[in-house]
Amino acid sequence: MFQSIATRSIVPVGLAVTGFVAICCLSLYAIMKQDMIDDAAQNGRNIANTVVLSTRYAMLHNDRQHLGNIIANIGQHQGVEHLRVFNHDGFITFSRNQSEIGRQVNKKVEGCSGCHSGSMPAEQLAAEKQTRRFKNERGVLVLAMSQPIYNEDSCSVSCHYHPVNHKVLGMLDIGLDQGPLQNSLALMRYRMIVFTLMTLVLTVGGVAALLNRSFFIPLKKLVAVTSTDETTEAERQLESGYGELSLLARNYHSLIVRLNDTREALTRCRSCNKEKDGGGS
Amino acid sequence: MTTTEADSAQTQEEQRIALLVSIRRLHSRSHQGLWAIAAFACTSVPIMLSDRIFPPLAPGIKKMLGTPPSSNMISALLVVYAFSAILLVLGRITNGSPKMVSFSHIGYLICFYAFYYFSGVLPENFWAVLATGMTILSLESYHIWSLSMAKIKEEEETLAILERRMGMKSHVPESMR
Repeated sequence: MFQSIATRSIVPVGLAVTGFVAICCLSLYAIMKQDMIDDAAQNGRNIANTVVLSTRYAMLHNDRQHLGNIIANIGQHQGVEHLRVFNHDGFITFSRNQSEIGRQVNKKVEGCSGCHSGSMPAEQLAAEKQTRRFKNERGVLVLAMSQPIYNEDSCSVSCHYHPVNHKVLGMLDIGLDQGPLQNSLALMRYRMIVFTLMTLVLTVGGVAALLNRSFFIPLKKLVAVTSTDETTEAERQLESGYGELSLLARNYHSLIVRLNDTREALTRCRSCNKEKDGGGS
Repeated sequence: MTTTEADSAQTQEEQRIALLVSIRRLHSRSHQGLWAIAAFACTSVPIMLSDRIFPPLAPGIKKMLGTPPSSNMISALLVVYAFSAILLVLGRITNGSPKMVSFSHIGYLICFYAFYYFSGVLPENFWAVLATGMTILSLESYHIWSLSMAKIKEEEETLAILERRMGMKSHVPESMR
């Protein structure tokens, strides 16, 4: 079965097309997934920046109640998993979740280690390093962004107690639920699988059907007719409409006719000779 | 038996042994592609579990290696590599080239794994590299297998003729004679 022309023609084409389409789809899916995650992270950073700008006035006036209300209200927004502000020492000073206020975060965990990996904490961090993905205690996949709150002239000169050498006053940390993003990715994955399967069925099926119609069926007939010496119905069918195979069938047919003629001539000749020999004796 | 007849019988026996050895060699060669696939699969398993097996790269090593290429660039290169490799194998199938399965593909694919790993996007792109490897190696394996099988058939036909001449009971199946 594996040595037949049909298998030898279809298997390499099927393998090459299936494999290449699968490679392209998998690569495309990975690229699109990364792009969507990058977009979501950019949106998250924009939200974090908006929160920092919204709380700026309250921070300058050290209006803690106002600041707490802003954080609590934005934190209730659908899709926001956590929203908290750390001070310079890593203590949570404001949070949507009141129970975590006053807790100190571990500087070695992901999200903090980007700046705190060296002996001196980094003051500037690349945008992609401000982003992290993890599963929280409720099992929700979270995309979290940390936005540094920098010391400004107005902070150190006009109001309260921040010295000039404190470059970073604290950090705003926002976590967004990745559920909708995961749902979009799952839908995209499902659509790509359906599209890939349809493409494969059409390509491989189309090639197989065409090969079958124009090559394998006439070839089978050719094999059938060349297995006998007699002119069969299949041979007559094969004599036109199949291109080179029809030509081959016609050549074969004329060869058989010539062979039969030669045989008949030989038989006649032999019987003539016998008659002559019989007459002579 | 005369000396010439004895010499001829000896030559035929030598030919017969040579054919049997050749058939055996072709049989083992036809499975070479499967060894390549198995080797690639064995390499891919620890890479799939790289998150759990390998420790994260130290910042010092990351700094030493420099900025990794973007994942989009690696993916584009992977697609170009897959396209070229598949075309080359299809070309070899068309020409009936007897070139063996190239184990170098496994090396190239490991390089792709390494690049994705250093770029931090290996889990997302693991299946693309696996599909590339499986496609190229399966095609090569199929090519070598079908080529070896065709050669084995030829050799067995020659062996059947030789054994008939020697008046021996043939090792070759009835259908081949």
